[in-house]
Amino acid sequence: MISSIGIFDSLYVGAKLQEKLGDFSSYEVQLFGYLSCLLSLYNGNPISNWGYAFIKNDLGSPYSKILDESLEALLIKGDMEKDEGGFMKLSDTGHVLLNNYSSFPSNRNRITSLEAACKSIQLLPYGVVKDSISKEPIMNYANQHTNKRLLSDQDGPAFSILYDQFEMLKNALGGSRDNLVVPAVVWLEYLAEKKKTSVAL
Amino acid sequence: MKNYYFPIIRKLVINDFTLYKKVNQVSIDLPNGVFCLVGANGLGKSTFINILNFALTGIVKRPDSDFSQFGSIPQFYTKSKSFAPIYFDRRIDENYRSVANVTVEFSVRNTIYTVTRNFFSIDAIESLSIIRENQNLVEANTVTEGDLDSFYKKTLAENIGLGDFEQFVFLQFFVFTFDETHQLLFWDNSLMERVLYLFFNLDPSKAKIADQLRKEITATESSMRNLQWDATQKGKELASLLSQIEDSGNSNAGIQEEDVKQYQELSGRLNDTLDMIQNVESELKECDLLLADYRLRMSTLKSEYDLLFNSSFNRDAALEKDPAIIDLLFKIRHNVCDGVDPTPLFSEIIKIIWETKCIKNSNLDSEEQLARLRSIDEDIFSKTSEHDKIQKRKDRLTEDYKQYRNKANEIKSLMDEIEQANENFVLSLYKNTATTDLSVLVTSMRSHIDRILQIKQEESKKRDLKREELKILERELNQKYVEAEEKFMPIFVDYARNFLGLDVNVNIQTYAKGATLILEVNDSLRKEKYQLSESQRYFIDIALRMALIEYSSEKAVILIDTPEGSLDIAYESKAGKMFADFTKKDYNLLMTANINSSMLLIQLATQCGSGHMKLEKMTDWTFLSEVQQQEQAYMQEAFQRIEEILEG
Repeated sequence: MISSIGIFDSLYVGAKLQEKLGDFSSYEVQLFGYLSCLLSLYNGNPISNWGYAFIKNDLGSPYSKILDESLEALLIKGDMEKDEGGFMKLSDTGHVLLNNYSSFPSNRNRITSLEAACKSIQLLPYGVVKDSISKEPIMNYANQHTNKRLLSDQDGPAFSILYDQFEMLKNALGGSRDNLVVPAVVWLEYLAEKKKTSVAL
Repeated sequence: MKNYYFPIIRKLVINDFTLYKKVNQVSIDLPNGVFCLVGANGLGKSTFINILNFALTGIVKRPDSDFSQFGSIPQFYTKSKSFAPIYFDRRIDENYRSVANVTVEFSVRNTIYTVTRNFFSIDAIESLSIIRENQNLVEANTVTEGDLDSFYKKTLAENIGLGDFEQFVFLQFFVFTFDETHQLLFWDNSLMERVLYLFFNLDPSKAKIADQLRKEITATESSMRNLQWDATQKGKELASLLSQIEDSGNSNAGIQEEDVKQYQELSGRLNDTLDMIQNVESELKECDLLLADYRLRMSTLKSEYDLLFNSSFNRDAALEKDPAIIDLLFKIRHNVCDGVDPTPLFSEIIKIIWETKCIKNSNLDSEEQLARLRSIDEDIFSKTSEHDKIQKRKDRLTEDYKQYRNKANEIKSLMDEIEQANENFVLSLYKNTATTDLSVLVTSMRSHIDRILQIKQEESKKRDLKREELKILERELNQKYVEAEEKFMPIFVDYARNFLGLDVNVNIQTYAKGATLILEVNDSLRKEKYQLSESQRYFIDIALRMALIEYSSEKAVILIDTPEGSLDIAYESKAGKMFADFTKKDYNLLMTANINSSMLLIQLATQCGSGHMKLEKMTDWTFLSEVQQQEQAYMQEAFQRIEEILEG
């Protein structure tokens, strides 16, 4: 069964990355899908409502089976094309499909989080974004442990640290639900800064 | 004698009142003359009247309670306060509770008031301005946000010329509003007496004193009844004790009076709280049912969506990239290379292409499929937001439920303490009587009974004194009424006779429990309701209200909710003329009507014309039900007819 949510998120994130970087990899779609999921949590939605879960892959990055299958299905259908180096692009039919699905009411709420996640690479260097996500509390905790715990398990110990960080952000920035770009960028910068400090120490 | 200056409502703005589905804001300028809100049943016409009164007073009248149940004007006001949030609860969407509000602009003499209230705040005003001679009194008096409500009440009552704000609230609901509860002044002595004091005794403080005296007399009489009951109980206990002494048995003892009172009071509170708990429980059950229903429907829709999404996705997969076809191609190559006949595999490829790649095989083409997907998605989205709203409501109710339960537990433990204490008391009494002379106990009980009867006697004297005081006021009221009769009576008789076509008269009558006006039609007393038809009763009562208003003030607004509903056809035209006569004397009428061919509206429109009457359609604010939509053409026709009459 193909997940309609996974298809939409893959198309949306893929198109945004393509706009900025020219093409995208499966790893990048997974990374920004994961960041979107966390931003949706910041916006007050339970993580279980996101529609699919993430685990930590062997390389220490977030991985969703649903996103993986969706990318595969889009490639087979011809809505995405892959070059020899493994990098992907949306085809014309992919763009049409994305336009159609973007107008569905259920997808509008997702767009707020997906867009904020993808916009971060317009405002911060790509490398900083990538490193920051690996240092956010849940990934950071998962990378220090060997078991394959679900990253979206809200009972996990790292979630309380994440909630504290979000609480601080909300207090500092106010609680507007419409624009998530500012909190996303401030948070990623904070994580980057934190990483530098810990390295310096 | 024009001694009052009642509010003239100029404008009403209602924000985010989601019962009115079409608009986020309803803004109404109220003209001089007649403002008529027309619409079918169930669209919120009565709600509109309640919103306006809420904006003015901060309360909504409980539809199921008579004035006599409250006992006094202050009690009516105080006990009605908590009803507004309950009334507006389902009329305003859960998500809009904090933002929905109403602003009313009105003038009293040379002062313009603008009051904004949130529908769920009790004793609070969101914003207030009181402009007199280009000065905002709120700012001039540096009134803080928390004091806006009390400043408004005080200023308005003084401005109108009443003793206090509660009297204004009383008049607004029982004289200036003829609503769907149809509480009539005639045939309700407790209402009529208050009205007479306020309109004919000139000094509003006297009305307040009379109201207080009436309340105290009622309280004293109730206390006398309690004391008598207590004395009787004690007498029974004594008799039982004497009989037990005779049988060498045990004796009994009474419970401390204060404890009994406190216990009764707690028991009353407990019952109220348990009622609230029961209400919340039933609402919670309803929420659970709705939530389950929405979840089921959402899940069905989701399955339908997934199925459709997947079928379209598979069908659209490019032929050369379809894994099933690629797999078959590999098999064919393998067969060809191994010299095996590959043709049986061709039919499998044809089958896959036929089943998954041919548009003909699908009931829907891709455009249609997309539209169908979108429509299901919209349905899921709308159901999700409904579901979330109910969930939010359930969360709030669960919180209320916890609070009520805690309250009930607190009350119950206080009651337990009293029970415990009295049980000990009784037990100790029994222990004493076992060793001491029981005649001491009998004497003590006898003297206790005597004391109770003595207190009852004192209460009776107090009541008589208060009755005397009240009688003085009643005499004064009688005199004032007789003085006023010369001016008041012709006004009332005019309205009533024009409507009924019969000779009408009213007389003041003082009876044991107070004063009232008695109606006479063709020289025959109509003390009982059944002596007039329903429409005669309603419109005579409206005539009385109009006469009281005309007698006491230069200008005022009367609110009448769907008057034509209860009207005999024979009286429709006359009622329309009665309203028109009232508004021609510079008074305003705000009414609601269920648009139809009623002669009341036609007559009113004929008499008033467009310069003096404004129609507002509720269909501009909200949607009609399916049945109403079927009748829309008919209603539109009726509406146009009235508009044409207005335009002359």
